[in-house]
Formats: sequence, C-alpha cells, structure tokens
Amino acid sequence: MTDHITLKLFASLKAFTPANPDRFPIAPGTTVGDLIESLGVPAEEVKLVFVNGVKQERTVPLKAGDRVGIFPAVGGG
Amino acid sequence: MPETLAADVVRLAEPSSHPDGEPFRALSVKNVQALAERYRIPGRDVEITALKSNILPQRYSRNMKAFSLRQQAELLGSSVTVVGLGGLGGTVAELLARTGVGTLHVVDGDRFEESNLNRQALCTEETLEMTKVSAAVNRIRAINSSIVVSPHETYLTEETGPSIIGDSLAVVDCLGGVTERFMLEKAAKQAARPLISAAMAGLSGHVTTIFPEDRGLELIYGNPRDLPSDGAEAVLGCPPQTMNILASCQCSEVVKVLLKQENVLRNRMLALDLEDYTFEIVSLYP
Repeated sequence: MTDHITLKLFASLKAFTPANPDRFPIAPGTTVGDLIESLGVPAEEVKLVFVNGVKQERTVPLKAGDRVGIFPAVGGG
Repeated sequence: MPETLAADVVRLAEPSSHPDGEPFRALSVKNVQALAERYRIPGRDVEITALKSNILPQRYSRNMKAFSLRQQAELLGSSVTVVGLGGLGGTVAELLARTGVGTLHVVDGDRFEESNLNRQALCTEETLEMTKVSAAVNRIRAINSSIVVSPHETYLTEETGPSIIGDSLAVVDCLGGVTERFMLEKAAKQAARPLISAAMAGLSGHVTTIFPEDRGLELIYGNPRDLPSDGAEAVLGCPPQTMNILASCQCSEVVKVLLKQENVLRNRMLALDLEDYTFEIVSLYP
C-alpha cells in the first residue's frame, strides 16, 4: 500500500516540484532526507524542512497525510 | 512648563468624530507643529501629552481601534532601529512613521541605483544617486514631522551595532543577502533587543521575530558557514509585491513587540508564497 503526502517547495526549489505535489506517493518508512533525495533536490540547497507546520530534521520518517514544506536560503530584502 | 503645554493642548483640541459616529477630541497636525515649535520639543512629545489628556492627534485617528489612546502614546514613546533601507526597510520606515512610532533610527551606507526602482519605496527617479538614509529622513519627515529621526549613514557592524541600536526597543532586519543577517543578529543579541527579520526570493519569503535568548536565524538557514552570501534571490529576483507584504508583516511584529502583545512570531516563522497563496506558520522547534 502506498502512502501519500502533500508537498510544497519554495523559491528556487519550486523547479523540483513533482507533477503531483498534492498527492505525492511515498514508500513506507521514507524519511525527510529520502524524500529530498528522491525529488532530486541538491541536499545542500535545503535549509529548512517543515512537516505539518513544524521544523523537522532529515532523519524524521514521514507518514500518510503529512504536509511537507521545503525552503532554500532566501535573503532578498 | 509641562502644565502649560497640557493646558495649551486642551485649549487647541477640536471636536471630531470617528466614521462610526463616536466623538473624540482631536489635535490637528498644524497645532501639533505649532506647539512643538513653541515649546522647542519634538511633535511626538506634544502628541504624547495630548493622548494623556484623552486628546487624539488627528493623524492617528484611523489607527483607532487597532490601538487604544494609551497604546498610541506607548508607540510614540518607543524607539525602533531599521537596518537596511532597500525593499523591506523603505516600506518599514514609512509604515512605522505612519503608525506613529516616535523615534526611528535608520541605518544604511548605500545609495540608490536604477535596479532598486522596482521595489524600494524610497527609490524614485528623483532619489537615484541619493543616499538611502537621506531619502528615508526626507520621507519620514514628509509623512510625520512629529517623529524623531536618527540617521546613520553607514553599514551596521557587530562593533557599531549596539551603540546604533541604543535604546531602541526593537531592531528590524531589512538587510539584503544572507550572511550579513547573522552579523546583525549578533549585534541585536549583544544589545539585548528583539530582532524582526524577513527575507524573500521571487514570490516566496518568510518573517520571524528573534529574542536575544532564542536560537534565531540558524533555525531557518542552518549553519552560516554553509551559506552562500546571497540566497535564491540572486536567481529569482525581488518583485515588489512579495517585498511589501513581508515589510507589512515586519511592522505588525514591531507593533506587537512594542506593545507586548501576544501572537508574536517568536520561535515561529510565517512562510509565504504568493504564487499559490501559501501562508503557513512554522514552529521552528521540533
């Protein structure tokens, strides 16, 4: 059985948004770090990941229904 | 003298009313300026005296009821430092002047150039080549002559930061680039003042408030040693609509901090993206 999550990539990382960000399939046990890798986002460009509105580290496993946001460094002002 | 000023304020107050019909006693801009001149004090102090007698300077009448008279007086008695007078800072300085924050320290060592015209509120064809600080001083005085403006035509550094910040109750991070922000955060922490920080690239951005004991920017950017000096804005640019909404959120935070109100974005961050209208509050502690 495949789980689905919701994905939101910000700023320059938008280019890595998959075709189905509102219903993105993940294998059970997929971590935040696995997700970043599977999207093809260069790991060093990811500065902040939040899951269901809370900052999380790369080792955290994802579960069905999670909302994941990913931010690069932005400094414009 | 103070009794005389208070008596003059009461004498010059005029009846007025809010749009809902509620009456109030008002002091006009002209009378604030006249009393400031007569007593050789900043207009801000005339306005504080008026507010203490339940007289509302007309220029702040539409700030009610977002603020009470007491809160308006508190804002007029407060000092804020705005660091960087570009896209964020120009709008922040203008909004704080209109809000009626009584003392504004404005800090920037730069001059305007043509690429600033798309987003920097203080940059016009007329102010090109001018220093950002002088444009800020002119704009603030043109909007609200009651405010005391303290210009610092320099780039704030870790060394000069605490003396520039001085008695400010809040510091607003309106810098461009990424790494400089960590320097400003250090300076604000040294001065034991909260820092309200915003940054953007393209249609995405974020805003947060950092108190001296908070971990702050590293929760958003990671280790500063792993950062390029510029972020994604180098590629995506800085359109004005993203800039202004973030500047507006920074002013909202300044007001909350100065008035010690709840719901400050402390250890939290508002992340937004105008492309699909994502607005999300992110808790920065897992």
